[in-house]
Amino acid sequence: MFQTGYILNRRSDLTWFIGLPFAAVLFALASQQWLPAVVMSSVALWITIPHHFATWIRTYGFSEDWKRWTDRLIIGPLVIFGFTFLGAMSFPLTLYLVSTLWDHQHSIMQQHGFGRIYDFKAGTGTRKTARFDLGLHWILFVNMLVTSPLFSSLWISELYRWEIQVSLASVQMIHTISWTLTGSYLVIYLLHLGSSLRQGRPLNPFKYAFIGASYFLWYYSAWHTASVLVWGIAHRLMHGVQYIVIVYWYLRRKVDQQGEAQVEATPRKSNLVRFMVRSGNVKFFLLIFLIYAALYQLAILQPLEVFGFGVVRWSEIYRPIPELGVAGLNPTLGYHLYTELMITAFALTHYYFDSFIWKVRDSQVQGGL
Amino acid sequence: MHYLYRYRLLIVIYGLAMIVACYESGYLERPAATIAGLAQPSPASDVLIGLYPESPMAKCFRADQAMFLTYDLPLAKRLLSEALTGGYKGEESYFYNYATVLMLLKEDYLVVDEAVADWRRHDLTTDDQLDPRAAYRDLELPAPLDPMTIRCLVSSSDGTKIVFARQDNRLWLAEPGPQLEKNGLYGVRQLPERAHQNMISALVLAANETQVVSASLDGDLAIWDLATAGLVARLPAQRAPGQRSEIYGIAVFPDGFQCAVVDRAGMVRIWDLRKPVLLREFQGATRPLSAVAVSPDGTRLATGGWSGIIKIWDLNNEQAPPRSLEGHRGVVNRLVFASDGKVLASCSRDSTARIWNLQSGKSRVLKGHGAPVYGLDLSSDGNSIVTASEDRRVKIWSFQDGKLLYNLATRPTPRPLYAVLFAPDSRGLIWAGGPSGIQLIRP
Repeated sequence: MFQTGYILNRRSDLTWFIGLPFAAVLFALASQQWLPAVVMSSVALWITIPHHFATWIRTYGFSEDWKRWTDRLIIGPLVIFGFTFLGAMSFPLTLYLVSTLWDHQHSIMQQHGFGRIYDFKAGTGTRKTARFDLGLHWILFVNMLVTSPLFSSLWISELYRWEIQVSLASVQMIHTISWTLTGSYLVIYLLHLGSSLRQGRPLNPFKYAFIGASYFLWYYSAWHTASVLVWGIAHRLMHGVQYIVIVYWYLRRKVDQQGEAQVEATPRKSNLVRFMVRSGNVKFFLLIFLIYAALYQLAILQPLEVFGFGVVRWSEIYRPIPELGVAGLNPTLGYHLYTELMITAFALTHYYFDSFIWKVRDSQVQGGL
Repeated sequence: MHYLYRYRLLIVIYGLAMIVACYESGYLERPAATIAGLAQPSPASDVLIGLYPESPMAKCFRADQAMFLTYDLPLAKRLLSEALTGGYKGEESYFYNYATVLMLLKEDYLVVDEAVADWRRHDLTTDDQLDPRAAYRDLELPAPLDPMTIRCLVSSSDGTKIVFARQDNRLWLAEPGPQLEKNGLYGVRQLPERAHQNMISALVLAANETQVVSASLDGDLAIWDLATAGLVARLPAQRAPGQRSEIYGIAVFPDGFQCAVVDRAGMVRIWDLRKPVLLREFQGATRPLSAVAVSPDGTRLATGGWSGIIKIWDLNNEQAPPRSLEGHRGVVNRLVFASDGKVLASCSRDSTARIWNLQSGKSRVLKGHGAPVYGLDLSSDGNSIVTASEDRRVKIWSFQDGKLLYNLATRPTPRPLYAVLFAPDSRGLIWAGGPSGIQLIRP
């Protein structure tokens, strides 16, 4: 009935993929209790920014990936930076909407990807399991967004901002529909699991523990707190740290494989990556991430509290930007555009790259898992 | 096709985003103008209060409404205090609002300092200019408007004489001139004498439109002769010890020689302008009264206040309790009786106007403005009602069914309007606009 497989190994998986969400929730709640908001936002950012850097290392710093996706790694950022610039100038609400929704989709896909790795490693699940898993992630995550007090207050306010005035009755109906769909889908999913077992395909308990831990974090945070910052810290800790962990091990395994196969042919570009992920050099790996975050901080040209402030405080992004198209360029406008590009465009580029560099069905990707 | 497939994600995301962007840039109205102290509660607050009625978030939303719609600072303080001391940290702006309420209530500075420290701890701002101790140092609700804003505007029935006051202490006269036919501009001149030491807050034409009565935030009245543009008389402020006497509304009786005045203390006073002498006074509300209107037959008085309640007083029966019309959720800014006296129009800080059937007590709500509505007038033909709002929009509605007929804005730049009148022929509007200050426009 059960077939265990690990992304890393038993202890590391229990730490990073199953234990981390619980620790992240505790940390976020403790932060809310004892830390000022500026520090809380900085905690979230100093996890988020380095985890973007992990993508840059994998794509631009690792010759194998660079060769495979050269055109997308050039054209993608150009399109994204261009749209972000236009959005910041002329349609900031749309830019915010795209950034937010893509971020949520990205979060869903990352957890789904880890689930796929668990099935790949344990040899569990049927051919249909990937689709059922994806459906499960979408249903559970969207249900949280739709029904939790935290996100309900956000999306209802956003709808009013977009001049779509929903009534109390219609919101309650939406909540009911969402819970009904979620419950129905869970039944369907359980039937699928039963069907898999009947076909002689075992289940990987670590995969379901991982999914359960992830949704515990999201649901508990979204119901327990009314602060998007608290939810954000818990989410960023889980999402960012798990991402950095998988990138580290992916690169290490790929480098180890390359080392066996083509030591002589290693391009210079991979030398840094090779050094960073070498056994015993994890401290350098993390140090470079922190240096990147610090450089990013400096590039924003503002001290820590302003950086945290400028990124997280939505109203500050809203208020000045609707007037930007009218006011013309000035130092304030330039600063806002610059930060918008630095923050939003980098994040969107990270989402885009992750959409094609982590296909678990890809044999070259499988080599690093 | 190969490349389309390869870039399908970008194409789908940005293709959809461009549709949304077109909606945003082409159809979505920009956020309404907000002035320090005049911010608005979230328009979604009613839904969220209904959804989570017992939550601290709902208390904070109700505090927002109390603060911004009815200026009920003690209630806002109580609600915020309950929510925030219960450990609610959902939205940092509520810590700011709490500090602001304490500042506006002129609480002890140590208490304010503590609230500001709490706001600093929970908010991400580093802008010292936002500090309530600086931003709200001398502010009192209602927050003052820009000095050039025209808040008071009255017109004679033939449209030949228009009197208006900006947010200063002076009165202005607008008359048809050579520019009127050409571009709708009136010629304007300032009345030479200065009668008020504080801002003029209300105006009304009296004595068969030969005189104008102005009221100020000092609580005094001044009577002016329109023919000579000279001051006829001044009526000093009437106030009991410890009472506030800012006058917010004035209305003239059909005989043209009596007027009703309402003030911050909630008092209603009726003056005979000929003597001039105070005929009668009574307490109309415990909270400030902000608008007043007299029925066309002079037998009833409508008063509206900061609580949002409108009261209809029977002047022939002093003992009869007033009839209450409840519906507005913010300060009532202006009241106008229809010519038949059976219908009353009102507008409010709750961003709506209402048409009240005085027989049934029911009202039709005119929704559509995104900010408080200050300007209100009924057309002389009885077919239309016009509203002007801080949201930079002037809307003309059908009086019969409340349907929106026109949605207008000043040109070239839309700006908040606080007063608007129908032209005598009901086919045009008189509002603050153009280089001279007063403009006639034909929608």
